[in-house]
Amino acid sequence: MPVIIFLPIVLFLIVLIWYIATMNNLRRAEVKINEALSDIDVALVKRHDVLSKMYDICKGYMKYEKETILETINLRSGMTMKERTNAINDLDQASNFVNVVAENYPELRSSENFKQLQISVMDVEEHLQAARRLYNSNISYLNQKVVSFPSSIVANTLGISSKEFFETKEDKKEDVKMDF
Amino acid sequence: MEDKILYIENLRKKILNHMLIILGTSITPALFIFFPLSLSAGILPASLFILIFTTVILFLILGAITGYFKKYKEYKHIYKKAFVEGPFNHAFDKVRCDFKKGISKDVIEATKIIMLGNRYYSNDYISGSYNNVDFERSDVLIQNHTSNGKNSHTVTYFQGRWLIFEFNKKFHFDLQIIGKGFTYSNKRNGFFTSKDNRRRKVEFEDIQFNKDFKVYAQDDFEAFYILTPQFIDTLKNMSNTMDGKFMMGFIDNKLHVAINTGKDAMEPSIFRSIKNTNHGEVEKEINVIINIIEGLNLDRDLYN
Repeated sequence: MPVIIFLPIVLFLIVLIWYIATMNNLRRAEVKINEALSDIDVALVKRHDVLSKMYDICKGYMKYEKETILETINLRSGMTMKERTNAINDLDQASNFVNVVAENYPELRSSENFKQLQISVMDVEEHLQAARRLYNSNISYLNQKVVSFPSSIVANTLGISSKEFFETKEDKKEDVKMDF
Repeated sequence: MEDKILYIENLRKKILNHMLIILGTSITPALFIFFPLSLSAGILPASLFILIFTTVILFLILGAITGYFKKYKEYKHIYKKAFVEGPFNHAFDKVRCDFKKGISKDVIEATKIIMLGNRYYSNDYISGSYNNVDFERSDVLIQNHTSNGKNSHTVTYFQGRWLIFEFNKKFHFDLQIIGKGFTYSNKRNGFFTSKDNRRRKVEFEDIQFNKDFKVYAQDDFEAFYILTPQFIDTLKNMSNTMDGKFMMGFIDNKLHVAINTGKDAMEPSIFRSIKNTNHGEVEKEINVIINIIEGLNLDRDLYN
């Protein structure tokens, strides 16, 4: 008799504990994703700043000032993923532009200031890459939970769905390769 | 060099003869006096124990009186000067060798990446620089000895080489990479570790890497910053080429590499002729350092 009474209670408690644990896991994954996203934004701003400084140095070597793509990039909080991807692509273009200028002016390439900024660009690039990989890793974790049973039940009740990975152009690595 | 080899070879022969003489002198009275006496009085296993025990005691006494141990230590020192310090000087800059010294226990303890028993030995300390990357290496033995009065038990936690490199990326949190099969690591991911110091398991995008290595980090972002895809690839290759199970720790802007080779690599054998001795062990030691620096791009002067 006591077994008949206690068994459903124990089973209910087990299910309840599992539900709460899974719910917390999913919520934590969402928080982690947002953290990683903010890491991406921080890295993007840093990259923009460093490239702006490089551009300022390049200006002195150019015969006439040219409006660069840097000036049209608008980095703000709460960007959509598409806007972020566009910003990355624009920054890649800006980076390529700076490299082309540096290619044509050996004295610019050999200036200490420029070299330091090139090092900073590479460092910021690695931060950006790390932030993007961490973001995708967290997305992968969440998506696995969302699609696999039984955690998918909890995800459905909470209204959590699979999220998109942060993918960039395949030629992304090209702008990291800089000649010193 | 030939003269030096000849000199060390003659020294080795002298030491070997010395050892054989005192061994013979120790075993003779043990075999002809103590062993028959104990045999006539008791049982065979006890007699065998007395034979071995008296031989060892006499060997230690005679070795100390005739200066055998001192000479053997001198021989080891001369051997290492020639066959270890020489090649290291050739391969690296700013080489400093102190074969009696090792990496201090405090340094290893501060990393908090390995279980420390109650016995710690370290020797064959070498420091130097390769492509402007400073390194230190040392042989390390960590054991845990327990005894309940009747039985004693010794577990070797780690025996091999411990390497410390300057790391070229600035980081603020600890990171630990444990290769498959490396036991007795200290993960500090448990409930009882304070939240600030606790390391959490981090998984990467490479499935094979996640199978071969366990990564514990205080900060996820820094883990991804340090472990770039190229770094991950190199680590996967290293796990196939390294001569032991290994673990890495990124602590205080230094990279610690613990390779559990199960041996003391630099020790010479007096039973083997110098000419027949395989000096490949020293070469291997040098190559391990170079491979780590070049493979992991530690010589990339990005941030210093």
